[in-house]
Amino acid sequence: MTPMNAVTVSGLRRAFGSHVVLDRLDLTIADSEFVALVGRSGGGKTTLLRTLAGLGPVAEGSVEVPALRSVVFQEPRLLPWRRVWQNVSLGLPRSRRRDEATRALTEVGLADHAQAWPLTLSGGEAQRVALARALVREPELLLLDEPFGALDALTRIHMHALVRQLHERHRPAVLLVTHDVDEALELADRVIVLRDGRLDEQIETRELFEDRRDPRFEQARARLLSLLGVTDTHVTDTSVADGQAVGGP
Amino acid sequence: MTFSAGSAERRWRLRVPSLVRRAIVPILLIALWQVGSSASWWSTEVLPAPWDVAHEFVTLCNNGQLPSNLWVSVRRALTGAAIGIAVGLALGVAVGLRRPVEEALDATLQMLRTIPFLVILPLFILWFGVDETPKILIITIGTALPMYINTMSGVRTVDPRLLEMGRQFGLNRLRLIATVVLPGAMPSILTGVRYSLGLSWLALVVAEQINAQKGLGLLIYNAQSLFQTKILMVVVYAALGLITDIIVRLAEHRLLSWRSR
Repeated sequence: MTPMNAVTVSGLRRAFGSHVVLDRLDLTIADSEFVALVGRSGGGKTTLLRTLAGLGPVAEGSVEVPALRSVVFQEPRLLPWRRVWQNVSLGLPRSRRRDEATRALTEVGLADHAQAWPLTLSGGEAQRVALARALVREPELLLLDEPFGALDALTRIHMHALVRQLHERHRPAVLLVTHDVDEALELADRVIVLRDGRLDEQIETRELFEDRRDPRFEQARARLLSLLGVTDTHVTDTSVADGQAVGGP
Repeated sequence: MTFSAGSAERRWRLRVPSLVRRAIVPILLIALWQVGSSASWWSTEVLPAPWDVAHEFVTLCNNGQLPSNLWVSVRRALTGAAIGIAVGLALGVAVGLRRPVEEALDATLQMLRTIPFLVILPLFILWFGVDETPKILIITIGTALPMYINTMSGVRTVDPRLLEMGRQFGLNRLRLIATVVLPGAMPSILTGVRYSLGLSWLALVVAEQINAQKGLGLLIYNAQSLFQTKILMVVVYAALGLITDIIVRLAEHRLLSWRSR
C-alpha cells in the first residue's frame, strides 16, 4: 500500500450470475479523504462498500484497505440486549471499554444515554450510537452505507453537521454511499458516480460547499443529477431556491 | 376529559400485589375442597380433605421421610435436567448456526423427538440396570429434546445483520455466540428451559417407578393404601412444578429486561 492512499482498488470485478455488478473497477481514496459514491439503486454501490469492508469476496482484481476499518450500516444494527455504552465498546479490549465508550458517546452528544437500552432511542439517536461505535476504534477507513437514508429531513441535517465535525477531528478516509446528490455534495471532498459497474465520472467538490451560490456548485449538482438520469430542471430549481439540501432523487 | 376506568384498574393493581392476585383462584379452590369434604359432598375414600393431607404432610416431615426423599428426587430431576439442558443447548446452537451440522443431525433428532421418551424406559432398564443411571438418563433425554428444538429455532431467528455487524467489529466465533447468538435466541431458549424443567418432573415420576429405594416414587409406592399420602404427593409435584416455573419467570424478567423498556 502506498502511504498516501488509504484504499487502492484495481480491476475489481463482481458478478451475481450473469449480472455484472462491478466491472473491472479502479478506485483510490487518499488518507483522510472524504469520498461520496453515488449511483442508481442496484448499481453496485453497496457491493463495492461491502467488499471494502471485507464482507464480500474479491474474486477478480485486487483490493488494498487498512486493517482498521469500520462500517455504519443503513440500519443502526445495535444489539438491543446491551446497553448503549456496551454497544459502543463492542470488541474493544476490556480495560479501555468504559472510558472510550463514554468519550465517543460524548462526541455524538449522547453521553447521558450511556446506560439506556437501544430500543428506547429514536432513529437518529440510534444512528449516532452506531457512528460512535464506528469511530471509537479510530478507524483509518470509515465506510458509511446510506447511513442517513432512513432518517427524517431535519435529523439528517444534524447528522451531516455531526459527520463533518467528526471527520475534521478524526481524519479517517471515508467512503459514503448515498443516492442523495445533495448529501454527497455537502459532505464529500470528491463525488464519484458509479454506473454500469464502473466509475463513470468524478467531481472534486472540496471548495464548492463554501458557497452554495457559486455557479460551479449548481453546475456540479446538475451534472450529477443528469448522470443519474434526472434531467428535469424544475426539480433542480426548486431545491436550490429553498436553499435546502435534503431532497433525494 | 378523564379516563377513570383505566386509573381505577391501576389503583387496584397498585394496592394488591401481583402475587396475591395470582394466589386468589388456587386459594378459593382449596377452600372449596375443604368445604366440600367437611360437608361430606363426597366420601373421604374418594378424596381426603385438605386438612388430612396437611396433617399427613406434617407427619411425613416430622418423621423425616418427606424431606430426605424429596431431596433425593429433586437432585435426580435437576441432575438429569442440567445435563439435558446443556446437551440440548449445545446441539441447538450447533445445528442452528452450521448447515453441515444440521444436515448431519437434525433428521435423527427430529425422529427421536417423535418417540414418546417414556416408552424407552423398559429398554433402559435392560441396558443400564435399575440403579441411578437409567433414571437420570430418561430425564436427560426428556429434557434435551425440547431444549434442542427451542434453541435451534431461536438461533435461526437471530438477525443475520447483527451477526454480520459482530463479525465486522472483530468478534471471534465464541464471542459472537456469547454476545449475539445466545442473547438473540434467549426468548426461545427460556421457553425451552421452561418446557424442559416441566418435563423433568414428569420424567422423574416415570423414572422412579424403576426400583425406587429412595425418592418421592418410593413414598407413593409405600402409600398404596394410604390415600392422603398419594394426594399429598400430587400436591408436592404441583408445588415443584410451580416453583420451577417461578424461577424461570424470574430469570426471564432479568434476562429479557431490555425488551420491556
